[in-house]
Parts: sequence; structure tokens; C-alpha cells
Amino acid sequence: MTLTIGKFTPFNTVIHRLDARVKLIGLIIFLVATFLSYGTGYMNLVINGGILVIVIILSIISKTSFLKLFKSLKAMWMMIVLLLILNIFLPSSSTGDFFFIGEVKIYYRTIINVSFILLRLIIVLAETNIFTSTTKPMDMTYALEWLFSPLKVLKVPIHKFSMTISLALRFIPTLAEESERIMKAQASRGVDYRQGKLKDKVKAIISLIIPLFISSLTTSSELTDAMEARGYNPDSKRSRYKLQKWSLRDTFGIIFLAVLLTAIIILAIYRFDLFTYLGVSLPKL
Amino acid sequence: MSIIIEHLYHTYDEGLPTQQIALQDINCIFDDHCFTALIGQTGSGKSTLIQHLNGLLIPTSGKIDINSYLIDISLIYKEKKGQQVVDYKAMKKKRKAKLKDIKSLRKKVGIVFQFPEYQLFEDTVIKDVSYGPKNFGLSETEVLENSKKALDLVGIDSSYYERTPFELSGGEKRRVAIAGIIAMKPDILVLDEPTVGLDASGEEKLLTLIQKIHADGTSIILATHDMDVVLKYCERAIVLDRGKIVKESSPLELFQDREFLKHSSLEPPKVFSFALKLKDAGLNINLSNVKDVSSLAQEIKRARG
Repeated sequence: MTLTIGKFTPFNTVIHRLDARVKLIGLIIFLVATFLSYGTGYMNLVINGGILVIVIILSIISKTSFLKLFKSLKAMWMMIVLLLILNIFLPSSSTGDFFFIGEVKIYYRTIINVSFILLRLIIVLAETNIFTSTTKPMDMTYALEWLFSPLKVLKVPIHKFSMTISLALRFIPTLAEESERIMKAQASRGVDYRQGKLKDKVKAIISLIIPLFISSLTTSSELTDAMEARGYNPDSKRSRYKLQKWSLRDTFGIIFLAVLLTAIIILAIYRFDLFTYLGVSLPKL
Repeated sequence: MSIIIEHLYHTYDEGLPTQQIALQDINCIFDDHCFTALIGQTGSGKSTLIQHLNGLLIPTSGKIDINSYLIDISLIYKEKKGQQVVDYKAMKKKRKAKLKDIKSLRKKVGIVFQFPEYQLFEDTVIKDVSYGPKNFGLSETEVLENSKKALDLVGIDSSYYERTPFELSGGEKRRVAIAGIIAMKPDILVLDEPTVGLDASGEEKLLTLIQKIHADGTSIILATHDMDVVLKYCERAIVLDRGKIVKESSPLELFQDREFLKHSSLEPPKVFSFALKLKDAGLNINLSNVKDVSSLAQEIKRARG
């Protein structure tokens, strides 16, 4: 069981060296831009297409595999089918031209809607993939802590949250290692995790989950002891071992993001229509 | 049942920055009914090699023949501009292909991993031990018989059968987990540092148990870095260092090879060093009889008449 999507890969590219805070803000802006509505369907298509191009360029720069995403999409075909079925019966898309498959009335609009959702899904996956595979988990928590720091005024225990998140992230590889070890041990006892009847599969999963639970409970209590033994106090002020340095690169990143944000907000508010502007008339979408 | 390994290479994370060559050009034979020690420090590739023996890992290239069950990832060549080059794509495809009838292989080769107690999961001891044999499709009565025999062998009596494995002591848990592998009746039993974390008496008991299983006709492969164990129990020793086999001989030969020991990080057993010194000093000691303290004492007694 290897997690190919979203795992940190230690290359040394420009995106990898970018400050985690810049990357986090960037991710949020890109996500917002992907889901905003820009008036007509054609404009949505154009802007989402533009975002897709940027994302592809970014993933080439950061050496994250864009094509691998489609492999993970293959595993989501159930969701795609569900989306299609839901949309067929939703009243919101029951307008315009239609055709029949057997007894079921299917609107062209439905097909368009579903493909839009899929396009956005791919873009969102690609964006998050770039963020998680270029940012070390520890830097990620640091960025999150920084982003939430205004809430300190409201007496929200930001530090405790970020400690919890960073510990959880820290133990993902450990847990993955552990589960691989247990899977190998059980495979040696004749368990087949890939094939077999449903009942066998459930049993196979149980043979993995129970030992995993037991070992993580043991690990967590040991960790608590170790932290307390070294005088950890959640309420005291803490300093940082590694300081992030703000560089020129990050400034450029922020400027680029600011321009992008302004552009999408203007486009979304004023509903600028490129095609009317160019005088091209298209069929309604 | 023997295992023949030819030109085995294994690389982790091939093509990634984290790439690591774990095994390089391993050629060896594990003989039938032999008690073989696999010696090496942490990171020498012991565990990686072991996982190849029942198909948990597939070699990056190389060939393993486990009693005519063949895992063959030999180099494949193709023509390119009139030259013979290695066809990595075809090899990768072959590596990813599903192994046929892998269960029959896993039944033949039983592996006890480090800290095997982590594999326990059933609610009673007897159920956990019979999980393995049941998976390999033995009949209900056979499963129960095998499991009881295995538990008996490791010294867990019938009062334990209905207890949950999680409330046992560390040593008992480990013995139950090992019984779970023995109950599968493998022809080859592989153990990866089985004595780590046990106290002296538990270690002694476990090794005696392994020797008993060996005497019953099972081949044993024991990964260890404890030279006393190698001297006392093993018939053959294979020494791994940084992914390569650096020595393959009997323990007696290994511990007498001063030149080799000087350059490696191995420390011969104290008993053996002492015996060697006695021999150098002129005492007529038969080194092949020296296994532990008591056998050395007897040898000294014999030599002095």
C-alpha cells in the first residue's frame, strides 16, 4: 500500500524552497479561484482552463507527476458514476435540450455539469498535490500556526492545535511503516489483501487494524511519558528550532499571488465576458 | 528443500532522490535441513534478503529458486541502434506482474519477523495460532491439531488456549506468535532476530526450541548479530556487509579466520577466543567441540587428561 499522491518528495526545486506560508496562501487562492463562478459557462471554462495550464506548469517546475493524478482518478470511478446519476435526477440541471437512454431522459446540461465538476476535481487534486509534495509536514504546521495566529486574541489555544497537528503528521510515516510491517507479517501467514471474497477481505483488514491500533496506543502513551519527562508544558511560550527565512523569491511569489487574486476577484464581480467583448456569439451553455 | 539465489540485486525507491541500494549481487545457497545463520549489522540487508525468500519483496534483478518455485527477474536485453542494452521497462513490467500461486510459496517458507508479537490480533490464543494454517486451506481438524502441537512445542499449555493474547507477558506473546508460524508447518523457517528484547532465560529457551524444530527436519535460517548463538547452534554462517555477502563458511572456519575478523566489525565469541588462546599456548583443544562455556570446560578437562 504505497501512497503515491501527496507524499512529500525531497527534490530541491524553486517551489520546494518557497516559504511554506506563501505556498499555503497560494493553495487557498488557487482553490478559491477554481470554485468561483465567472458568469457564463464559457468564461468558467476559459478561466479554469487557464488555472489548469498554470497548475501543469507549476507541477512541471516542482517535479510532481501530473499524470499520476489520473491513476488515482481511476480509483474514483465509483464517485464519478454517482455524480452522474445524482445529476441526472437533480431538477437544477433539467433545462435545455435532451436525449433518451431507454426510458431515462438525459439533458445535455447534465453531462456538461458533471464534466465541469470533474475538471474542477482534477484541478483541485493537482493543486493540493503540488502543495503537499513540496512542503515538509513540519513546515506545513508552522504555516498553519502562523495563519491562525490572529485567533490568539480570542484566547484560542493555537499552540496546542498546532502541536496536535504536527504530532499527527509526524506519525504518519511511522504508522505507514508499522502497517507495512504488519501487512508483511500477516501476508506470511497467508493473508491476501488484494483478492478473495468480501468476508475474507474484511478479516484481512481486521488482521491489520487491530495490531495497528494496539501499537499506536502504546506509541502514544510512550510519547506522552517521553514529553513529560523532558518537561513539556503546553501552556508555556515556545521558541523554534528552525527559523524560516523570508527571501526575495517569496516576495515575488506573494506579488504573483496578489495579482492573481485581484484578477479573479475583478473577473468574478464584474462578470467580464470575453466573448461578447470579442463579438463572438456562441450557443448558450 | 533448498533455496538458490543468483545475482540478486535490490534497490529501494528506484529513481527517486531517496534511492538506496540494499542488496548487491547476492549469490548463495541455503541447503536442505541446514541451520544457517545470517550475520550482519543493522542496515546490512538481512531483513531485505529475508523478505525475498517468500516473495514479499521482488528482486530488482536476479533469480531466486525456492524448491523449484522460481522468481526470475533476470536481465532482459533489447537491440538499440545495433547494441545490446538492458530493457529496464520490460523488467519492471515483469517485477510488477502477479506471482502465480504465491500462497503455496508462503506455506513452504514461514517467516518470523522482528517483534512478531505485533501480529497477534485474534481474541483467543488458539484462534490466533490457527489463523495461518486456516488461510492455507487445511481442514478444521488438521488446523486444530497443528495449532495445539505448535503451542505445545513452544511451551504454552492448554490453560492458555482461551485467554486473549494481549494480556500475556512479552515472552509469552512472542512464543504464541512463533507458534502461529510453526503451526503452518513450513519446510523452511526463517527467523529475523527472534531473541531481541528477551531476557537471558527466555533467549535460551527460544533457541533450544528452534534447535528442536530443526531436529524435526525443518531448515532454519536465523538472522542474528549474536556470535555466541552462531557458534552454539548454527551449522553454516553467511556474513552480510552493506548489502554484499562477504563470507560464507562454517562458524568454526569463520571464527578462526583472524584476517577476516580483523577487517570486519565482527567480534568472535569470548568462549571461542579463549579457546583459541589456550590452543596457541599449547593446549591440545579440538576447536570443533567448543560450543559454549560448559563444552569448553569439558574440552579443557579432556585435553589435560
